[in-house]
Amino acid sequence: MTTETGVDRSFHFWGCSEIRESLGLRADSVRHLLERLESVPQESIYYHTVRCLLRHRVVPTFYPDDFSTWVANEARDVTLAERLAFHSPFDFSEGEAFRQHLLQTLDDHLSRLPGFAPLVGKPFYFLAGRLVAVPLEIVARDLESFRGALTRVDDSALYYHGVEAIGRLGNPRGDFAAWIEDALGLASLARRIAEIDPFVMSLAGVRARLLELVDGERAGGRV
Amino acid sequence: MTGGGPRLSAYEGVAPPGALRLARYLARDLSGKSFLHVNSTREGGGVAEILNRLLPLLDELGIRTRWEVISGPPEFFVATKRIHNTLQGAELPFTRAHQDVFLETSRAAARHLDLAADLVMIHDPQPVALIEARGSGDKWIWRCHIDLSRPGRTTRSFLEPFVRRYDGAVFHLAEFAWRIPIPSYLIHPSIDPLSDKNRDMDQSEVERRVSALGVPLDRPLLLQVSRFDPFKDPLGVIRAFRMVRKVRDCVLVLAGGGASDDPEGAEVLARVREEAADDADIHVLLLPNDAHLDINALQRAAVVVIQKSTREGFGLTVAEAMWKAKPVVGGAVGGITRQIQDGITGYLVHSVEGCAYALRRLLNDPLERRRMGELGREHARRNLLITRHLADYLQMLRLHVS
Repeated sequence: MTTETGVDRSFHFWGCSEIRESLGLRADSVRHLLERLESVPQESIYYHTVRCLLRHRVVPTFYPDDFSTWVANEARDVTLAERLAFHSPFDFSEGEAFRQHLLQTLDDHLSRLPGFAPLVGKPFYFLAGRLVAVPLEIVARDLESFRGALTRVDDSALYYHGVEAIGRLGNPRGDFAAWIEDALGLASLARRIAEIDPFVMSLAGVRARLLELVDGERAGGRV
Repeated sequence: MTGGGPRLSAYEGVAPPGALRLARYLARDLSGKSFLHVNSTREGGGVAEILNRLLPLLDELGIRTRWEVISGPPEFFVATKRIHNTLQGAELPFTRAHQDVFLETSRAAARHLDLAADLVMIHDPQPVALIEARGSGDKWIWRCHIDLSRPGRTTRSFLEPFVRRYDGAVFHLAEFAWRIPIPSYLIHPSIDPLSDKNRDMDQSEVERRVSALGVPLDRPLLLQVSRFDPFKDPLGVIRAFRMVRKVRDCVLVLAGGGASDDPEGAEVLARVREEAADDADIHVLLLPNDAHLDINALQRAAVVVIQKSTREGFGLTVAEAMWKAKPVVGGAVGGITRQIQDGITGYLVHSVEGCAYALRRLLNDPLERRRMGELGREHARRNLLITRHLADYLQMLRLHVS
């Protein structure tokens, strides 16, 4: 789709792949997790709270990120897991603010415990990831072709445009919502797409919701 | 590198959507780069199997691949087996004599192996000391396939100075990674869905092959496929089986092959045979290394597949079974914990009794077996196929030589 000014307004789908690196750091208790979180690279916090959405599980875990999952399963502290799980990094203006939130939550929780809680399960290992984006050579020019593309692209494309675009590529609406509003002029649909929360659903769920919203728009109704 | 195996396009529709496009994209700027792999055996074990299938695909994408094998006298493999066992936590001495034969053999091998390549990937500890012979400008990566969560201190102290000279290391899992001042990547191994071991097989072929092995198909079949190695706990599997058989008539098959770099296998096999003697329901099969179709048939005939390891680098037999839509009961160690989603694609167990209970439960519930099997196959498709592994290696090449 080209505008009168010659600008390409098509949507080009990208997928992505990640290679993981060990930082050689581990936490052997919740208190140790707190201490490590004070200094681990921001990339590692991002990996464990955002990139974890890219992992391919056939049945998603209940908790949205690696920290709360580890606290629940290995430290067996479900109350703390619930407190950590509620906020996603995207609720904060920048990564350091999210780190401070994690530190405050852990510190507050530990201050209420009567004593040191030894680890029941396995330690937490800090990782980071390197992402490579890949052009899929799938292009949408209107809502119809956008819908068709959504059924064909793999999960990594949903992650890349819906999550990484917000977390790392400076597009707070996400690529899908931004394109639908800016190129197609469908502000209402764009707003509803931007409301999809990938932290509380699987990428398969994100795909299903996108299709539902697009189909609703094509049918002229609201979903 | 020459080799058979299917073309990349054959994986279309088998691998997850986008996997082939990703591999081709990652390979774009790597045409003509040379990629050498060095390990200690061409036959037997997961490393050789993966290399046999993966290298032709890298070739097809324009990478000039080669594969060298370090060889040596029997004493060398006694020493490397000792390294293997002590790295996995066995409390055995790793003596000066072991170290001397290891270093002498490594240095002799370095003189006759062609180790020149843009990227050299050294697999496991056996050839690790070849780093002493690296050429200028070459990049070297050490890929370790074994469980390093509790390495013996003497062996680690001996090996670590060599590892530190590499440009990077690859481990299966974060808990295996050493804290060393080089990048430590995490890459899971993989299975090839089109290989003889994993290709589709119709029921008549399954029955023909399993019957030819002398295994009855008139009762539910439980199976463990692995080398005869104490860490695979074949004796624990027999004990679990005997508990289950008291409440449910079934048959156990312990099937495995040998490897040219594993001198202890015969000893363990003898102990397993002794334990299973006079028990008509336990079938201990020592299969040749190329019996892939028989393994395939056994896995398809099994109602539940077991991998009751007490240490495990990764345990690709779990992925193989999941690819065949079988629920898996696995020891909660190493890479098995990354393959089995506990209660979803199988069960993770911590004891003989836990193994027996999980088997009893699955034998009693065909619906659960089917549900777990289907989810396991999808998990394997998304995470454990050779096409994902191919992309990981291409990323390593891009990071280090492009």
